[in-house]
Amino acid sequence: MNNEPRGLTKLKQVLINDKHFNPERLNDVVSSDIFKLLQNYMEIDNSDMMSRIDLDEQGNYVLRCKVKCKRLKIMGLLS
Amino acid sequence: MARKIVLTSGKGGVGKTTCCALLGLGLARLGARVVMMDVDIGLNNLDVVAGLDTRVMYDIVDVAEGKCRIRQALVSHPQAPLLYIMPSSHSLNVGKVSVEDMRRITDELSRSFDYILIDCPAGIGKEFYRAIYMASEAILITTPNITAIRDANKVASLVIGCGISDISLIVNRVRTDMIAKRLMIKPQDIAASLDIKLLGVVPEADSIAAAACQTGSVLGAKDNVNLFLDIARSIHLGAAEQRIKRGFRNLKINKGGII
Repeated sequence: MNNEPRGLTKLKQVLINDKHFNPERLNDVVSSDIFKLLQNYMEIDNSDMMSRIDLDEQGNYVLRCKVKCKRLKIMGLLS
Repeated sequence: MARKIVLTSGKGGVGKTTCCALLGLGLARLGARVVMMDVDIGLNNLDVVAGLDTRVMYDIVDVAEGKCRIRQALVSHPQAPLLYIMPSSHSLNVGKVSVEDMRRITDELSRSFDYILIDCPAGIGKEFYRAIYMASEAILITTPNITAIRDANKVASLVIGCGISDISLIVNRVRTDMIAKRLMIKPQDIAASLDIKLLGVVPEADSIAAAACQTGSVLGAKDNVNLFLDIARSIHLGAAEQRIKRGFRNLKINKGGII
């Protein structure tokens, strides 16, 4: 049984709901930064990468990122 | 150089200006030189809350427009000689002072004061950003109401987005009797929900409410003055501790000891 005051339960619910509304383009900006970083280590195109920001049940943001890479850059030749 | 601390909330009516005035008084009583800046242009109230409205000759718009020097606009408190306010204008033309003007004024004030307390307007419009861009630290003020906490949470994200990472929280108008009956959220739970360190818990006080209704000035009220002295102490001594730690980090130690 939930022992916390009703107000606190409602507060958590409101704060988590608010987290669903990320600023527009935040995902694009994060995605673009990750893409630039990964380009240092692998040969990838924009179309090879998908990223999304979700919320878990505790209200934490979870960044899900899937990248298809054609070729890794060999460590000695990193640009 | 002064510490530039903005007091903000998002929601109006949670006690930003009252907290600003009482915190300013607390810091001044600890021996710090404090200037409180009212950047709520057009909806200025800090002068009344500090009990200094009858002493205002010039305001921040006059300074920005070059009609007077900064020193001429500053008003000192008769009972706390180290406490000053930079009054805001009662003119409704809010566009008169630019971000650059504000920065220039705060930079100049920074040379003469230990603390610049910036009383931020409610809302998240242009005026809000003008206040935030001047600061390097932020104190969020909220009441235990869900709506106020929600707005504080949004404002915290905006403040962090503006590059301020040093944020703390004051929960105002707390009633322990209601907390005991589980009718009010505990300040510790509010801080945990917002993930912001709790700087102070301010109980609801009849003398503050009465002062606000009768004279407008809260600095003469008997309640919460000592509490804000404690909050001021933790801000002031916290800075001193950091300075000592930095000092120790900078010390070089060789075989003969510290050099």
